[in-house]
This record gives sequence, C-alpha cells and structure tokens, in this order.
Amino acid sequence: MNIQKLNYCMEMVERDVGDGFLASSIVSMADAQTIIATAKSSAKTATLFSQVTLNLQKSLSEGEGYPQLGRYYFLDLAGNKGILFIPLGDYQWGVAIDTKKAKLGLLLNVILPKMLDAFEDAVVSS
Amino acid sequence: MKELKLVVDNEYDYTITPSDKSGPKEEMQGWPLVGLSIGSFLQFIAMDQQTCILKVYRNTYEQGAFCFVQGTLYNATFGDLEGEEAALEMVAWENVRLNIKYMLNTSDIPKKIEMGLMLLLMESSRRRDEAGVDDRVEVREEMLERKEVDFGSTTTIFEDAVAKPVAPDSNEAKLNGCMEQLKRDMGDALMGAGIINMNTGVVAASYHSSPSSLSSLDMFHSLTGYIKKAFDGDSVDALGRYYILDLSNGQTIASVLFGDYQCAIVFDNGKVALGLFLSVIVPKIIRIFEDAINAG
Repeated sequence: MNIQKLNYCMEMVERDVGDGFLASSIVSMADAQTIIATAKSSAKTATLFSQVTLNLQKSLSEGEGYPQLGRYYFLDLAGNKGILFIPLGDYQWGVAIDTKKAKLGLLLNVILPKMLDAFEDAVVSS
Repeated sequence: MKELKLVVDNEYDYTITPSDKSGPKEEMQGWPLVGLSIGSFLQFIAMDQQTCILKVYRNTYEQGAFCFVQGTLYNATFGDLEGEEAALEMVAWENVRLNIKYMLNTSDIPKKIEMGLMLLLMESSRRRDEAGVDDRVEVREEMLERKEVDFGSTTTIFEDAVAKPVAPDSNEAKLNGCMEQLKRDMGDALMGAGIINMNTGVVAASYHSSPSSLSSLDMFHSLTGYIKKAFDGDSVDALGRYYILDLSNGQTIASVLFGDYQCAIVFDNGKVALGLFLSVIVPKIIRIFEDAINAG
C-alpha cells in the first residue's frame, strides 16, 4: 500500500467535499485500527464505526434474501451531520460531513467514485 | 410576453414562446414516449448539468418547454404561463413525448425561475396532494419562507420528521395510506416497505412486492435498534432522521425515523433515483404519517 497515495485520498476527499467536510478516516476491519485519518478524526469513533459495519453486514446476511452491502451506507446524525461509510473489503473509509453544506448527491455520484479509484490506486501501488 | 430566443447546436434559431403550441403532429408522434414523469426526467437533466431546451408534448393541445442552463432550470413555458407557474403545471405530466435541443449560446437567457428544481417538484407534489383545497398561496408562501432550504443538501428534506411522541392508536388507515402512496410514487421500483414501532417491534403497516414473511421487518427493527444504541454514546452524535444502505444487488434500503416509529423501505435504485426518493417521495410520506399521528 502506498502511503503517499493514502494521504492523497484524505486530501482529495477534504478538497472535493469542501466546506461541508468534517473528518475522514480509513480503518482496517481486521483489528479496527485506523490506518490514516484527517485532523479532526477520532480513533475511538472510527473503531466504533467498524463494529457498526460488521453488525450491519451480519444483520443483512441473516436477513431473508438480502445481499451484502454495496458501495456505501449513509447515516444521518443529529446536529446536521452525516457519515458516509464505504466498505473496501479489508478496510472501511468513513467521511463525516455537515449535511447543511455538503451535497449528498455530489458525494455519492461524483466524489464516491473518485474515492474508490483513489483507494484502489493506493492499494495496488507499492 | 417576451420571447426567449436561443441558438441550438444544430445551428438554427430556436425560440420558445408562451404561444408555441403548434408543433407538427407527425413530428410529435415520432418522438419517444417517455414512461417517466417529467419530474424524473428533469432531475436527470439537472444531474447531468445539461444546457438545453426540453420540449414536452403531452398531447396535441398541451405542449410546453423547459430551458436548462448547466443543469439549472432557467425558464418554462406552457400556454400563457411562464416561469415557475408553467413549470409547476407541467412537472406532474406523465407518459409524455420529449425532444431535447442543445444550446451553444446562453449568454442572453434571463433566469425566470428562482425556485430550485427540487423545491418545484415538492411544490408540485404538494399541490397535487392538496388538489381541491384552495390553499395554494399559503403553501407557496410556506415554501418560500424556507430560505435555508438547499436542495443539494440532505438536511432540510426531513425537517418535518422531527422526533415527536407517537400515539399508540395512530390512525391505521392513514398509515396504510403511506404504503399506498409509496406504491403509487415508486411503482415497480418498490420492493417492500413497513412502518414499525421501535419500542414494541409491532408492524403498523407493510407492503411486499412478493410474498414473504415479515422477518425482514424484524431485521429492520433490530438493525435500527442496534444503530441507535451504537450512536447513543458520548463520542458520537445520535442517529438522526434516516439511514441509507446501498446493497450489492442494485437495491437500496432506507429507514426514515418518526419518533418511536420507523418507515423501512427497500427499492430498486436503478428505477428510482435516490435524489427523487429523498427529496420528493419521503417528504410526502412524512406528511401522510404526521396526518396519521394527528388523527390517531
């Protein structure tokens, strides 16, 4: 995994989300450790979110006829905040936004595909 | 009324005027019949940031046009109407024929629609819901007063769903009305839906596109309960008004929280755009649900 490109992932999402950006981090699903994060990200919170994702995946697999998570899931939070989670196999990327300022459509349709490409690039590069 | 003159990409002057109703019938018949409502199609144009004139033919006598500049709705004409009123009349049309003319020169186009596209769609939806009740002016004023509404934003669309205590004897017929409205608005995109009491797990109303047990709704009950609990600590903000799960088979699960209840919806995201779902369909369901609560 290319550290410089991981740093670029953080810079890119912060730049693209703009004023509505709050924090972002990528955690390893195996041990719930943060591998990279922006300034305001909390390791404790990121760890909690990895557990939420595992539980979601477990619930879906136990639910009748439901497939696994696709590209993302999004939680609206109190205080005009929201978090986009992107399952990436052994990793998970979370982005917290101010929902008053950030556009969900822009995030899902424009920034999300760029994030997926950037992360893949970081993973395959050495 | 002033004409809106535009230059289109095929190098010929194209003009939309309020009286432009005389398209040749043969030409109209050759255009594709679109099975979507105009509202859905407008969202595609806006999302694609197109600069174009969208001519809309409902029938030989009812025709109009929308003018988009870089995805922003600038103007609309229908009969003697222009601007927002024309747009509001036309966005609810279905089974229309469409023709798109792309524009190259947009420098002289006046912007006659100040309302955002999503606000227009919501206003149109609200007007249809309240058809027969002569309170359109009041509704419009209410919408315009929401100056903080930003339709790219996701926050304001659920503001009507502020958590409030729900009476246990909510009007069952109206809760079923939520399901009926979902079926009407989402058509075959709707896979299943249910309104569940978060405290008891009791299903107040439900719909399934195919026969199945209610175990899926049990899953929603436990899933939402888990998420609410996980976000109940000091380190994170509490779960807000909804969550969305994108599934690997092209379906989306959305759960909208109404106080002690949640409305869980599963739909095919290839048939209904998420923007349409969040901005138009969900607010409508919220209104019906609130009516049910008030009537309960």
